[in-house]
Amino acid sequence: MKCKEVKKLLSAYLDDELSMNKRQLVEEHLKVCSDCALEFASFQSVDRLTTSLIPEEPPEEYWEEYSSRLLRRVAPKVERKAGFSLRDWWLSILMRTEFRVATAAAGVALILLIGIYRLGLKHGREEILLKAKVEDETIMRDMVSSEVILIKALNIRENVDEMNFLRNELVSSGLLNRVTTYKDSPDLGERARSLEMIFIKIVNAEPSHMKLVQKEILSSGVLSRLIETKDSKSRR
Amino acid sequence: MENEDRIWVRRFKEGDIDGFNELVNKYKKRAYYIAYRMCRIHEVADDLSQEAFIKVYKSINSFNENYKFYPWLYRIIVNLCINYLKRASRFCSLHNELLRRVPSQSGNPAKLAEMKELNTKIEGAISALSPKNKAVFVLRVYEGLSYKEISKTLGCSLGTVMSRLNRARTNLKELLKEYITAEMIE
Repeated sequence: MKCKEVKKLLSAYLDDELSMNKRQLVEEHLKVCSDCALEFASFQSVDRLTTSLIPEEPPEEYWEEYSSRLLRRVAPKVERKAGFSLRDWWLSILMRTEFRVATAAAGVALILLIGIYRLGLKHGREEILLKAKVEDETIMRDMVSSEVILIKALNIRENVDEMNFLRNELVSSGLLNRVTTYKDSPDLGERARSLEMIFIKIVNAEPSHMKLVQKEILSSGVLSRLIETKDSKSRR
Repeated sequence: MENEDRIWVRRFKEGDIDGFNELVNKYKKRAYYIAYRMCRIHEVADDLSQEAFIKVYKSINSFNENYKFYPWLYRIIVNLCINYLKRASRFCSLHNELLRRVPSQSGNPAKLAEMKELNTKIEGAISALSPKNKAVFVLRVYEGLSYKEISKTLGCSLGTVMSRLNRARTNLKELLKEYITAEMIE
């Protein structure tokens, strides 16, 4: 083993931190190399000198006060640890200004939301009721108009002017269109379909064919059913 | 001894402050002297050793009880000292002023003067080592830690411990040349 390698291992040799194999190699080298042996002796001397150094010993009072001073430095944390309770923690949060302001704001917002919701609900309900009322009134009015049209049709003569007048009244009033929409209604559907068919025949009928239309009005029973429905609705 | 540490660590983790007190009482002198040998100023050693225990207090829950307590504590102290010494180079004048203070001692004035001179030389030589070499030297020579323990404490390899210690002793041999020669002759 060369001196350079041995000198790198001298410290570990001194501290007994070498493997058996390396230790033997260093020992053998130190027996024959005075330079490395001197280096090793110097290291031993360094250790003796440095360990002979006695640091200034702090007085006994220092050690007595050491722990109490340390505890004072960590004291706030100790107090918090010892005194911790979930209740106090919650209370501290509840008492915070930000929390109280946030709670109040949330309360106001909730009241407003409920108000708006109830207003909307009320408004919606009224709208629905109103809409239903309007629809009912329209249906009733249309029933009356349809009844009038059918009675007129039954009493009409084979006169072109009278026929044109009746057609105009049926189409321009929008009654024919509305009757067509009633076909999808669950309680008016079947009667609306019969009525629509009669109305279409009235609109397209030639004066000469009006007698046939009148017969159909009477035989279909559409007028009697119309009067019946109108009466039952008006009773409701 | 180590089982005792484990019990105190466990008690402290469970919220018992007595566990912390026991650890402080057991290790306060070692903590102080490591810091003192690294920094050579009583006030600094006092502050850094206390700071190390405060770190222990704050981070005890992250400490794995399956490991020994003291290497963890030593690592904290040594790192605090290394950081202090790095900062001290920036406020060198204050650091040196504190080092020049004469310690109050009683006894034979001539012997005391001789002792004081030797102590000053030795402390000065140790102080001249780099912080990392100094840490390895203090842990080995004064605390008697094995290379394995030093490597764990400082978080470096065994080879690094070996080379740092060799470098520290080589430097000290040069710095204390006149005393070593005299000591060897005696």
